[in-house]
Amino acid sequence: MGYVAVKGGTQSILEAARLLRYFRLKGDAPPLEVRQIQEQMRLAVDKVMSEGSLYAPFYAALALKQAEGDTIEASFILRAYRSTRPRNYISVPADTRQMKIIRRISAAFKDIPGGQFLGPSRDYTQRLLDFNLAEEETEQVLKFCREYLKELEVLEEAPSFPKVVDLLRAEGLLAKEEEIRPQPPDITREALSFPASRTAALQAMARGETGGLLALAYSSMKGYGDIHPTIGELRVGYLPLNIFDAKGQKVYVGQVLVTEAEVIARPEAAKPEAAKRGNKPQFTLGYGLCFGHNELKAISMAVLDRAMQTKRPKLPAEDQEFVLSIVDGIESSGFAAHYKLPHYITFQSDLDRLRFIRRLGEERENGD
Amino acid sequence: MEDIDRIDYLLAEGGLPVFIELAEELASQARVKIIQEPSACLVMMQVFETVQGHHFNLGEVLITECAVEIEGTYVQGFALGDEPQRALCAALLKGAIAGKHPLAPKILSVFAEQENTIQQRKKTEFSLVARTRVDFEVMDHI
Repeated sequence: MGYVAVKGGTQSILEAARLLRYFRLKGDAPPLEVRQIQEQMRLAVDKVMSEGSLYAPFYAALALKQAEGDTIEASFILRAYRSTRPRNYISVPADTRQMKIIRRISAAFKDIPGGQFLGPSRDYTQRLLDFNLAEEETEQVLKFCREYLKELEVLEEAPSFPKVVDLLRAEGLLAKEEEIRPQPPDITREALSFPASRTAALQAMARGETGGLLALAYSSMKGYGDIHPTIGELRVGYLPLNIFDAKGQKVYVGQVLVTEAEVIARPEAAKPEAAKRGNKPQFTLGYGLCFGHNELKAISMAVLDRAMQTKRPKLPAEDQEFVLSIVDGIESSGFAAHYKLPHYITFQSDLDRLRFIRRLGEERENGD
Repeated sequence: MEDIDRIDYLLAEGGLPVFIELAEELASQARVKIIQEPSACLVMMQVFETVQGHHFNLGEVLITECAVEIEGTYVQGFALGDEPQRALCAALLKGAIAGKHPLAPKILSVFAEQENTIQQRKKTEFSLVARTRVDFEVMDHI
């Protein structure tokens, strides 16, 4: 379809931007500080970083302020900022076994080596509106922090934790990791083509929109799929970011908060040839990992990762091309938003056609 | 942890005000030339997934990089986020230690203090997490 451009409206567009700013500020509340957003709206900030595909907490908070809390718009702004900076490094691949955890749970096993830690979680609360927050004062906050930290028994060492999936692997209940590790494709440099490699799919989902991933994963959970996932392990914590400098020396730059989900799916029978060799049925796994603390996204990603490994895809969540073509929130919101832009000529054409058809019908009815 | 790894870790995690103070003192005593002003750039972060053990591109991380020459020694400095001061301090202090500048012992002693502070902070953070350790009990069938 061809498009016809429009021009003009500059003054109105500038006034619309000024009005937008006025609407953000017209109340008598003091302007939000970016640090306040970064620290107290941390889950929104994490979502923006993950969907904007750029780990930059301060700028994600700034984008949220600019977008008045619209996470998709904020991630669009952050991704646009990303495109202005050069990419000078590729990190040393991080191993999530090194994660400094703040949360670690398993729905598959009650007892896991190292233990389960609920961490900062809202999972077991009743979601009742907390009216006390309406009147939260600095003095109350300080008092809470003082009392919370009081009498803390400081442990000597933060332990590292074995992976639950490694325990299943040790028993032969899961396939081993592959020894050959190919260089992953980069979908920001080469457009996705289908069938895409699993690593390309993981990259696409890691920058996908939480709601989009959740809706597709939910379709699979609701019965439009055959995965029946159990969360083997869900971790939230910090991974080290290491790069190589110009002299080829490894440099630690800092730590990055991530959420990781490993879902265990129903066992798969060994292929007939493999069964003859003595191979036994094994569980299969789905994997999800994203920037920040965003458990629904990591779980949805893991469910979809497993669903897309289905040998003969029949349902939407199993169809790699379907899933990966629609999960990017910036692409999808941009497409939906473009319908707001003037389509006068295309619509006029539809209008002309409809009027002509109706006239033709009327003429036939009148026997002209 | 190797010494250089330890220094990078401390420069990334330690308190910025104390590093700025040291860097200013160093700049007043040493021949310092800024080769590359601090500027924000991206790192593509790669992570191993645990199904096949392949690594994939998780997304990009904003960092700041710079380069200085201190008494003729070329050093790069890095910091997470758009943090020009930290990146510059990292380059200068790392350069002073590598070049065995007379201020290096003082820098290392400040690093030792920082190391204790960081360790204490990390232990405290994990101790708070450890308070949430859970041991669910399985109930009888209803």
